[in-house]
Amino acid sequence: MDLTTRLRAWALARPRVLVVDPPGSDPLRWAVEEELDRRGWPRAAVPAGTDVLLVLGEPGPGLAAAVDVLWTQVPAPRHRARLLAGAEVAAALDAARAALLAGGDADRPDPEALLGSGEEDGDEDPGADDGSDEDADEPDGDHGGMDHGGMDHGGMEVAGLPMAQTGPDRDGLELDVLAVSLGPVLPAWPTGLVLRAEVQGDVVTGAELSWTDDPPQAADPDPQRLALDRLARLLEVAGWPAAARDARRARDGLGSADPDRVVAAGALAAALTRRVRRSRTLAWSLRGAGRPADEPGEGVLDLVRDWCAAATGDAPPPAGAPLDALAGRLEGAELGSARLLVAARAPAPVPVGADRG
Amino acid sequence: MGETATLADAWGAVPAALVVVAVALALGWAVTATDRAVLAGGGPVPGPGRDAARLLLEQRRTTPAPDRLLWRLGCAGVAVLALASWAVVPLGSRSLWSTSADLVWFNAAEAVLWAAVWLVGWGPNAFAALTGGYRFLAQGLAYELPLMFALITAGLAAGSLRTTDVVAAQAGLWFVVTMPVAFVVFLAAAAAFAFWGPFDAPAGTDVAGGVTSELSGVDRLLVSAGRAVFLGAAAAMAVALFLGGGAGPWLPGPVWQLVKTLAVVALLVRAGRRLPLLRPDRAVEVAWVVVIPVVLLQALVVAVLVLAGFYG
Repeated sequence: MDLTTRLRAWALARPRVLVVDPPGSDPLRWAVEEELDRRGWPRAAVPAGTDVLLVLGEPGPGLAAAVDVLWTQVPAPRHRARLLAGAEVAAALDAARAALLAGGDADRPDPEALLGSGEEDGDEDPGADDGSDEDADEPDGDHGGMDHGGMDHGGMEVAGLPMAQTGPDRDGLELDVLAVSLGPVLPAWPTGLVLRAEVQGDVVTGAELSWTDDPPQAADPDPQRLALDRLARLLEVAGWPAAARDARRARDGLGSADPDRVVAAGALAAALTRRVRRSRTLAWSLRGAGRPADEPGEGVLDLVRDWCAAATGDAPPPAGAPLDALAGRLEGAELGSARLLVAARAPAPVPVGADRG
Repeated sequence: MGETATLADAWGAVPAALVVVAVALALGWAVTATDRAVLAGGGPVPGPGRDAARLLLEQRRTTPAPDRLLWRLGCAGVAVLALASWAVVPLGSRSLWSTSADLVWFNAAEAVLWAAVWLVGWGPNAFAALTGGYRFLAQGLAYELPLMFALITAGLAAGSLRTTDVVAAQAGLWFVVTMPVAFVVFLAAAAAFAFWGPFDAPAGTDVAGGVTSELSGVDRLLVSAGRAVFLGAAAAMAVALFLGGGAGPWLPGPVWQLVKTLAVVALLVRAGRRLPLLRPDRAVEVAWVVVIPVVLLQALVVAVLVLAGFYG
């Protein structure tokens, strides 16, 4: 083995993994995240910081098309793998790393062709182009995993993207309005959910939520583990990674076959929720988030406490909000608050279009 | 002249600069490793060195219609400014470069960082990155003035803005004793300008990594390394300004300085990771309503002590 190969093997020994979990694949994702934590492999947040793109289960056609676009944004060296329910997680990760090192994934499909068709199925090998356009200087059509899907918006375009236009803002001023879509793959976001909205600065207006695909038939996971998972996601969005890590650890421990680990996980969940409930910094930082001043109702902070109760098994997990109602709450929210609201309300997957008025 | 001679005078400009860069990178490595160890909470820790190697192997990606020049400039700027701020941090009893306005230099490196980080957000022509850039500017409104007052308080007591003079002025008593508020504010402001820990909003999860969301390869390496080196520089500066620099019994000065700096890093990381994110709007509120008056009061107390001849 020559020096370059060894250096490369050392550098890529702990690849960053972007996990795409279609609705209904929660238990599989938990197994993957537990294994990643055990190995010390970082989880990627965005395609730009990804080495291995790992798609779990069977994504529907909408999500699969989005994953194809994401894949065009992952810088080389990279590898794309799928993991079906029931497969051996550790073996799959080892295989993914080996494939990444072998560097067999040099072919890169033309992003524009993918965006144009939008109908690609979630194949292992999307498009077999000549692979000469590695430089990706041409318009990607899409970037950052923050926005996916076409936005038909009149007016000027730059590199295929609509320019911002102006519109009245909440204070009655004429401000720039930019149409964006968030999702369907974002860190700490329900995968498959797409938020189409206009933003003025970081204030969301005209929000519309939808799922990319119809939900699959899936058994409900253990409610306490589910609550811990949602709490971890919420804490991640709230910017408290250490607490989110503890929530994930408790979640993984509760699923263990070892009774000692289950007891320890219960204690960890209790300690974590106590810490979260009592955190004055969190309360102060979240105060008023997601609650319009003139309207009573549950703010994000109340929902955090609800999830804490569910995470210790003292209460059932809060019900997911209907998409329309949630989209209404996002109106006028600052982007960070909007993300917190989506994480706290944890909308349940529904058939496409079923939630519209 | 022995007191004010610089490392560049003593060793020649190039070797001295190389040593300072090596120290800066080593301390940045230590900051990242400590941070990850705390975050991993006993789990395996991905090594920063391995990350750097991987990022060097990685393709540099781009986005549709980026402002390429300003984007690259911003990424390089974060790293260059972090290293530049080390020019006035004393190693042992001397710094690489010494002027009558060292503290202003340190402050200026971090003020130009506003522009660099904003360009990193602006460059890729992407929503998440731009949002992160604006968040950094908002955060700047919160930390900039408290940071300046904290720096000036130390300079006031020493009667000089030269860092080596500030260290020398603490021969009798460490400044942290009479200016604990300035010490804490300085470290909090350091976390804010490196947008780390509770001040991570410009690169927050809720905006998919914000300013860092479109970075790959060497660009991501420059920005991450720059943030870590800035945190390390702030820790070393805190030791020089408030903890007596290399002063201490038995051990030689540089060893004391290293021990103190690593202790400050450990303290900063442990404290910072205990807290959830402070949203920039909240941070601005508390900075202007609480922190600025308190740090001004601190400066007033120190000024009165100076007039009373307390610092000699």
